Amino acid sequence: MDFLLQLLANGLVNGTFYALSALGLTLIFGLMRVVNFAHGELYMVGGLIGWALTELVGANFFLALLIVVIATGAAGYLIDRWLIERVRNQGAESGILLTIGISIFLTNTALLIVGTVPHKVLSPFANKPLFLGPVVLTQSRLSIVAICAVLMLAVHLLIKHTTLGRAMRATVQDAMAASLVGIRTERIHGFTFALGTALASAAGALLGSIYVTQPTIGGLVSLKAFVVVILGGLGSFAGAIIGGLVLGVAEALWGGYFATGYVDAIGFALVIVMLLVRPYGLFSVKSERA
Amino acid sequence: MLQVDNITKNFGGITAVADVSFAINKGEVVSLIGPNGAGKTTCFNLITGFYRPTAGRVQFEGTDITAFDPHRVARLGVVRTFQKTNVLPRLNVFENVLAARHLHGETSILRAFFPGKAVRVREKRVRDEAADLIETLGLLARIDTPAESLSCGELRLLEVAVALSAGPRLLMLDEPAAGLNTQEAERLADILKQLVGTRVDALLLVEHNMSLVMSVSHRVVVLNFGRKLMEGSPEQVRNSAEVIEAYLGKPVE
Amino acid sequence: MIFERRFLLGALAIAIVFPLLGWSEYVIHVGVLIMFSIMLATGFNLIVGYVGEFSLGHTAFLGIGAYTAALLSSSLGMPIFFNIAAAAVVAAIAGFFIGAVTLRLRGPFFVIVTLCFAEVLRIVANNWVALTNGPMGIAGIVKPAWMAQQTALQQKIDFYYIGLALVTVCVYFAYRFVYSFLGRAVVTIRENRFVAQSVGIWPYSYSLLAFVVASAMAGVAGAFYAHYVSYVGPEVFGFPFMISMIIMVLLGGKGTLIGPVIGPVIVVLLEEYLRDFKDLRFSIFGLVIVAVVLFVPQGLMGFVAARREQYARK
Repeated sequence: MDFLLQLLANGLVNGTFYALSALGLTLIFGLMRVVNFAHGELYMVGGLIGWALTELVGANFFLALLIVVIATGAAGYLIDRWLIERVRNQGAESGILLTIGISIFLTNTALLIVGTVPHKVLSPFANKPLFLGPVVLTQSRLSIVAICAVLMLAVHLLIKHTTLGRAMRATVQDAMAASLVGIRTERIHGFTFALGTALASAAGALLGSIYVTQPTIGGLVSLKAFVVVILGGLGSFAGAIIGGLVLGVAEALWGGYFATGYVDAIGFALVIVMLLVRPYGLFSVKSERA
Repeated sequence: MLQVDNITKNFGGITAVADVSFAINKGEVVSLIGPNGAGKTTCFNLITGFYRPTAGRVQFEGTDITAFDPHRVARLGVVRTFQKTNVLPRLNVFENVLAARHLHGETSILRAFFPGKAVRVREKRVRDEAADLIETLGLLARIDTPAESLSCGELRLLEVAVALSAGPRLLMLDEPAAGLNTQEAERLADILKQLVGTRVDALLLVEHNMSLVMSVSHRVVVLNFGRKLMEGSPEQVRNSAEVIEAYLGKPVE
Repeated sequence: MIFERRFLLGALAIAIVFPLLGWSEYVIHVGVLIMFSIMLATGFNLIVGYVGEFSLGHTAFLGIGAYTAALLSSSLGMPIFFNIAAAAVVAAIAGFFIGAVTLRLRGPFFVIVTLCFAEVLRIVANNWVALTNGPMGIAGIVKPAWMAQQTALQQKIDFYYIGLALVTVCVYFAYRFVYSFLGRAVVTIRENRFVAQSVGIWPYSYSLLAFVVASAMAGVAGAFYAHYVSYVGPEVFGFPFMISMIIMVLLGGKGTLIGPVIGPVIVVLLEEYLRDFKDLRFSIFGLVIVAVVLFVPQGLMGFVAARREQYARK
């Protein structure tokens, strides 16, 4: 029983991490209809910048996080305005290919710069175990979970209750109508992509203090993020959180009770099974319109 | 030939079509009219299998087609057009009409990979039939033009040609005269009148152009807010106070 | 249609003569890689270019074909041509089942779920040690007996011609697919799915057929590859193969038959040329993809060779 509780706790912690690392992806899809295949690489870039700032420069963890968010957000804005802007309204495929190209570029350029060695972001949180009844968790993981929750809440508030957020939602509903009421839709797209990018990199910097980051990790992160958002419904904010938790718990239970080798396949298996039952995700509202 | 019994369709909490029934007999031209949002297009989608009705039944020549997929409905001989685009924009007129001839061409996968004389003969026949249809609709001069470069009037004709090419027994046209000027609409009306009894057995129209509706229809079914308001001859519908009210509102006392 | 047929026959003639010109072993090796890539790209193009759905899991069938051939060869000692045929059949069957599940989805869902299937297979190949020898892979796939006495150059030339024969078969099937009622149906589905349904085309069945044919071709490519390099490991399921396929088909021109022939030639040569740049070449590859999407979205052959039909007037 205690073992089960411990697995559940581990699963929920990992699940929160998964949710955070998928949030940028689901946001960009939900608000821009772009499937960002460079998502994992943006996460990786965040982790590496975080490592460079805390380890090499000696910056404070939170300052590093802030710099990561601002720098990658700006980069994301430019990627959108210079590249994605040009293939908007050309169907999903162009966006997918474009972001695949970006992801290959980012991975290999990062490899050229930092090599294959894994790096870790230095955080102020100790790796000290905390005993909560029968369950043991580390202080660092719990702290990061708390920061994740704050970040998610902040993004939720930004999208639901600010002018910028309303403009983002209006633009995805009907870009033409949005531009008619004076919203500069191309800028809004840029900001949305910037927000998604910043979230991906923030996740990379935060989780980079717990797991290691290396240039080639992007593919795995993207894949897990895809699993999370498909489980929860592409484009759904709440879905990403639920999807992340489901994946985290499922992996923890599978790893605890069955073979560890196949843990990474669990998410894919879940996705495939779910598609047979409910093709568009648990939380996605798919209209029936022809 | 077509029998629609009490079909209903709910989208979430909204009822788009409620309890609508009507029938089409062989040799008839029936029009479905009503203000915007009355549920005309939804009816089309329900009959042709693009939507599943929440309740009710659709029969075609005694076969219950309520739960059929669209392509099976088409195979039985019920072919519809779409209000928005009913063509393959990047393909030329000939390719469009030829593609729609699908059901009448070769169907053996094995022969697709290892064709022989029989395949070539059949292919030639299908191509001739497509060209013949294009000629009938007066589009021969534009046979190599991509659909996206056609004028609005030509495009409407091509839409009809695409649907006819599939060889329907019941042809269902969704706003075939949208965007046409009076002259073009009259020409379309002439073509439509000639179709029934020659190329198709019956015609179901959704149309806003009332002079077209009145000139070609044998019967008119009026929908309003998803319900059937009335059904009758063009004369009866034209003079119905209810119909005028649905379109224009209540007269001020 | 006529242009494409002439071009392809011309390319075949050149390809037949090519090894007779006294090239080095290395050049023939590059030729073999090109043959392998054309098989893969031609199949992949049927899905991406004609059905119009973007699969990221086509390596699943490459891997299945490669492992099928490797296992048949190493544990049963079966001959190369039997293995290639078996790989085609096994990959086609896998394609049928995977396609049957994934083709219920479209757009981004299809993209991601096909990718999931390839990943699951990669993980299985990594972990099912009893069958696949895990990450070690299956090594020492024997070369055909008749090659035993040959020089390394002659062996490569033999593989080149085997590859060319397989390419010819694949392109023939692709050609027949595209220029028959099948191609007409899938292009209709690609251009307007609703119209296709309204004229009686069942999108699912034709998409699935294209998927199965494409899978069989990837299986053939995998088996050929396995015999050529005489080693198969889990990386045949990996994303790098997928990326090459994408670049080849896109650069050449999706939705044409010439594109997936020209694309591999350019990409393989470029890859060899950029070998001097070592790691930087992959960064350049990424930029090439971005540039293609932005500047030549139709690919090099997209404008001259798209499927076109005209009525021959008397």
